[in-house]
Amino acid sequence: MPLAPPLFTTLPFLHDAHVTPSSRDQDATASSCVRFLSYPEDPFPVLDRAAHIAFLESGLNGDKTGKLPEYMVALDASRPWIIYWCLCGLASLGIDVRRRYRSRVVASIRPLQNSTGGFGGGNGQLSHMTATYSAILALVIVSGPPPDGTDNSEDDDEDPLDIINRLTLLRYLHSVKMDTGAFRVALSGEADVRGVYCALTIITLLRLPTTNGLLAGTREYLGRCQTYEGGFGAMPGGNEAHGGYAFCALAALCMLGEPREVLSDTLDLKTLVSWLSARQYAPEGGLSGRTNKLVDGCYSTWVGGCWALVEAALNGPQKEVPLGPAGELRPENKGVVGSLWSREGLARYILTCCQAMRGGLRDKPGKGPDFYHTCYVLLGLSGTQHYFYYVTHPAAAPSSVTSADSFSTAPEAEDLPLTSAFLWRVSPSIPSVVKGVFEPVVEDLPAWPDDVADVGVEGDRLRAQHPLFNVPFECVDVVQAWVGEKVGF
Amino acid sequence: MPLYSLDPEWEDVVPLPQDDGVQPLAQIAYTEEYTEAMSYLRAVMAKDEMSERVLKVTEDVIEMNPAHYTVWLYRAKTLFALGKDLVEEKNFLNDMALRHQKNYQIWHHRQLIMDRIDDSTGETEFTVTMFEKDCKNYHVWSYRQWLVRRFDLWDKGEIEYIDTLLEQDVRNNSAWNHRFFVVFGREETVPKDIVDREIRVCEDAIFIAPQNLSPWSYVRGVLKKANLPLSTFEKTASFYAPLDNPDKIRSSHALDILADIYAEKGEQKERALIALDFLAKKYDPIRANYWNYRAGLIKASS
Repeated sequence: MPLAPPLFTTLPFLHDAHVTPSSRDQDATASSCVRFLSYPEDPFPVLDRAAHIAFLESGLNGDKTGKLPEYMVALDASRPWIIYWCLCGLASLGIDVRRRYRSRVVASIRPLQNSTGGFGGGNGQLSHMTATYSAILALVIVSGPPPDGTDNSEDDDEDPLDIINRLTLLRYLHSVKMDTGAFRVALSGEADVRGVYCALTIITLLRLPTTNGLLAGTREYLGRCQTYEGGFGAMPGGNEAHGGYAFCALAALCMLGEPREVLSDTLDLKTLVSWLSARQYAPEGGLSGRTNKLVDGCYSTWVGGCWALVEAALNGPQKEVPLGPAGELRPENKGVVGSLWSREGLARYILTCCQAMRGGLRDKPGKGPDFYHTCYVLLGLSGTQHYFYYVTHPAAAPSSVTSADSFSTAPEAEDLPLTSAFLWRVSPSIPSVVKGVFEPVVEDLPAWPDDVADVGVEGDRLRAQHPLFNVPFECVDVVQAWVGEKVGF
Repeated sequence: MPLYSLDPEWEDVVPLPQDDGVQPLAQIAYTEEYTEAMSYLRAVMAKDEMSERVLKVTEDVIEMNPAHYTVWLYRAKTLFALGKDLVEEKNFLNDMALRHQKNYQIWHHRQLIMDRIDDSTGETEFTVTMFEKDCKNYHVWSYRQWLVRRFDLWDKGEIEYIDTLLEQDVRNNSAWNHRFFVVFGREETVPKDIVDREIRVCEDAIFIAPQNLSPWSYVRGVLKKANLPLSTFEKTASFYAPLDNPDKIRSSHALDILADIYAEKGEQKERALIALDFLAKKYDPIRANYWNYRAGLIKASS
């Protein structure tokens, strides 16, 4: 294994002499990362798959008593989150979570639903947008027909998603919608872009009607969250640009329409790209959430995940052409921007600095692992291994230009179901700087087994996640099939 | 140790247990105290009871789990229904906030309370106490902006406080961000002398630490708000990144802004490409793909 390049083992070329608390923290972090990044025996350690699987399974199954330890009461209002983080992380590692956990996920999420619509963070808790989001995503991850060999028989006919009451959920969404375009996170709760992102995810995946002004002003609200730095604050009017809110805002905008059109009409894209790019530091290779703050593994998803969306906005919709004799498709490589960030840098940071000794992933060296970081660090690593692109809508071909007449009788554009999120594709190959040439993102590996726990799989490779919803990529098709059979509620 | 089941004040209440479903995932091993308090709280919430004892049990639960949004929201509703002394509630919040730094609920609750109290006395002072622990606390900055807007505190010492913070740490981007909010956040045109002052503040900060991104981003924001061209800052940028004397380059951010300035001026595109090449190869190579993309845009436009 060759040593890591000097970029990742030496402190930056430019370094101010003036010391402040921020620079002291930054220097200490960079130095501690360099120790890991330049470790001579193992400069690019392999993903400790078995240990991370064990860590995430302990989140679902608890310890020997079958429960999570007492101190986790701090997450008692976030139980669907724990379930979602662990399921999503396990799925990315190649575990067949549908086979293993389908009925228990349904049993765990069912008591969180309230008769007034939405889900709470625990049984008997008020509905909350982030709890509803994570509860629904947990169901999405195990959705689809019951896999062979499952032992549950009673609710085999029921899709996990069938437990969702879409009608009361829609009423709940209207009740937290504000005139500003925002969504509150709960009745009488705070309103910010998390609420909007969660609402749009729910509306899109469950194909809820957006009539009666459900999304009135929402796009403009998201646009107002962009700050002078180029990133996004939690709400309009002065909050600092922050990686977590940037992902929420961008992913939400990408659910409202084709990325190039929506992002370039709503935002200052140039400043956004500049701010996003400035989040990656050397020598760490990792990503920070704000200017002059430290790298943190969780931004591998929040900031790393923005890149696919921004690149799609710069490239516009792509046509697809066959990749090889197997009939796989890839985008046409005509003047697209490729990767604007360092995938290698982030992968190095994650594998060297974020893996905890006994399993689980973490913020940075010196911190302990937790389920939140394990999920989002893994999703971030998965993002470095896949190329996402947005394809031309079949109905948007030039031959089907809508005439003025038919347009006037068509329903209001904002009332149509949101479909843009379903035009994302993933490829194992990435456009190179040479036009028309594609390179594998990572070395080719054998096809995925159904469940890595049965046969094991070598290397660092992770399954692809959907760039907007952060669930296994193929789950989104399963949900579409499910929702396609719904007539009304 | 049961507290509620033996208390005569609660003897009329039948505790409501939690239903976690069959073989639930991610079940938490609660302490007996938490299980009991929550069971009694669920029972009174089911009856929509708003009383003194509700305040007691919510305080009890919040002490054990301050991220319990349901309990906070129910507490606020009860406080308002009973017409309680909200200043007393503020003291309770001060204590909670100082012990739990990263918490959405405490600050939202405080906002609800302060909106009712309608008097901001002592509030900015309390945020200062919070900033002494973490001067980049997102929730507290967000709250401070709400205070400024809600109580019209724009000219009540904000700029002076930011100056103090930037003196302590010129890299405190949250302070820079708050500065932008205070200077440009009002719906009115900012006079030229203020714009000039802000540009000067950036120049001074850059002089102390040229490789600090915060003032470079800030000055771009100022120029854009004031409809001034980026080239207003060309002289300063050139000082920290003399392209003809690369050994004297002291700021990658100066190269970045110079690349934009030169790209805007049609005849100096070559110099923009030189600046971007320096960035990609030597001064900020982790972002090489981005710098090369910028160079590609310039080449494509010529």
